[in-house]
Amino acid sequence: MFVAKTLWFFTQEMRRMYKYKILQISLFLALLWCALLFFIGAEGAAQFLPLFLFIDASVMSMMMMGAILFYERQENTLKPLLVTPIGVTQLILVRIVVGILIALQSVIILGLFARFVLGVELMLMWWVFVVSVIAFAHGVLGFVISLLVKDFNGLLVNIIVYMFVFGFPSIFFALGMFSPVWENILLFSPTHGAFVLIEHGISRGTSTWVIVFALTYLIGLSGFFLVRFIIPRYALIGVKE
Amino acid sequence: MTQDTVFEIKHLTFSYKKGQPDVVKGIDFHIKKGEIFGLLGPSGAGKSTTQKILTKLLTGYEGEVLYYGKPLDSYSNAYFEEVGVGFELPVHFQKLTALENMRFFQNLYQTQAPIEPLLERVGLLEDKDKLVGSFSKGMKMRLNFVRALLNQPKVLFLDEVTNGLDPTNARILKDMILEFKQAGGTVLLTTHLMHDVEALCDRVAFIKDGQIVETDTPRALKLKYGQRRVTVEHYVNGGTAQAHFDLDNIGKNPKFLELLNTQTIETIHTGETSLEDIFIHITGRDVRG
Ligand SMILES: Nc1ncnc2c1ncn2[C@@H]1O[C@H](COP(=O)(O)OP(=O)(O)OP(=O)(O)O)[C@@H](O)[C@H]1O
Ligand SMILES: [Mg+2]
Repeated sequence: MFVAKTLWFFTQEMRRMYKYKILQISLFLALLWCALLFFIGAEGAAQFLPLFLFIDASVMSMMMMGAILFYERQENTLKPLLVTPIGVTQLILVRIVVGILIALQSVIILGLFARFVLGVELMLMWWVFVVSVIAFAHGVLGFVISLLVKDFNGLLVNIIVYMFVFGFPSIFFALGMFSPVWENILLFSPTHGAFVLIEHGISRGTSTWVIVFALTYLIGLSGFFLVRFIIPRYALIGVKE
Repeated sequence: MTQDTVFEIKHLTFSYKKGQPDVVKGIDFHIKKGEIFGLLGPSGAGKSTTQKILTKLLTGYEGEVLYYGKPLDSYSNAYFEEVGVGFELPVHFQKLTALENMRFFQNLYQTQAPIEPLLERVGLLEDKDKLVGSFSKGMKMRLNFVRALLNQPKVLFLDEVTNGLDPTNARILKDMILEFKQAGGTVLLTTHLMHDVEALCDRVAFIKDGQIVETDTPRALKLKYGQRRVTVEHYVNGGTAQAHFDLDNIGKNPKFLELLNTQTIETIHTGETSLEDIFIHITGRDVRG
């Protein structure tokens, strides 16, 4: 019964993502990335592909989660869900899984396109795995921010700030502006960990401990926010609005 | 307390934020099985807040809320299998159709009422495949009501359900609420529409500034606060004159009898105090204010 209800809720949420055109927007973006890669050409594609995947799995995951939550606020649909037998934790987890699946849609399309159209050597299954983790972490982050700000604009501003604070150091590092020692410190930035994990899908040069650290860190950090912030506060904030 | 008590609320106190003044201030009441209990009071009195506590939407209250004798928080989510909640504002996915919305929520429950007959009853069957976003306020409120009944609940919480409805639709909903009660259901109704109360409620509690100031049957309240008077309007020289009489022993009141025998009577009203008057009297505020 429990499983059946959760599954029903999951399929309905997926269906809603279609009705609300969130799936289509994500699909459109993936095709746009493909088009960009096509014009960049096979050579450059290997360089730009990780960047595109990274943006899709991080920024887009945060925005998708925000979209789901702000629609919910606008339509006042949290309260009726909270008076059904479905639990808050199930509600939250289903949304996060939906977010991950939307991100996977992009990585699969982009990966297949790069591999078979442009002939880029890549580890697609690895990407499916790490993008799941990255989308989970950033879905959680988008969730947290959405609970703290009052509208979608507030979320956008925070995403931009987040990207400045955490994203730019990684880009400068990639451009060789920091000495390699800094990498160990940069790993405490979730974006850097995410980027390194994705890049490994092409470069394959990342050391095992860096991979393990980045994965553990992303999962641990977002797990912490999920359990300590989102699950206890989501219903409370939603009802008091 | 007996088997017949569905809810028992003792010294319920609630504040939305720590340090902020309480909005519900130590209220006591109980709801019996099979009755329609009305929670009345001016805007901001704490009606919706109280109802949200009983539907487990708000937690962190002080005092006791017992459901069939056991604390509400000792019940799992299975509690929601038994209750239906009609919210005071529309609560639907605007980009899904009415039917899709109903299915979405209904399949989260074990017991499921047939949807289409409910939609038909509230006059929404023809609109079942339209997006809820295109519905009028009244249509959304009717759909809210259907949503509350989707799981064949035993207890109904209704917060201003007739809000924004035309008289015909308001009547249909009221009939359905009475039928729900006749089938053994229990209802907690929140409203400031006194007509709904007169038509529906077995007992009412008046709540003002988070405190219950009066709990009784509408009839007892009328007897308590009522002025039993008759107003007679009669024809006088091309105009209308009014005369007032006490209802007690009216048949032996010579002035009244003389008036009836000698004048052309236009109207006779018993001036029982309406619940509306009582509301204003008890809560010290205008219903329409
Ligand atoms: N989310 C909230 N946060 C803080 N205060 C709130 C919140 N919701 C309601 N209140 C306050 O609690 C009090 C009671 O509100 P409530 O919604 O229970 O009133 P009500 O009796 O249902 O009024 P109405 O007839 O207007 O629906 C009001 O003073 C209101 O300002
Ligand atoms: Mg209210």
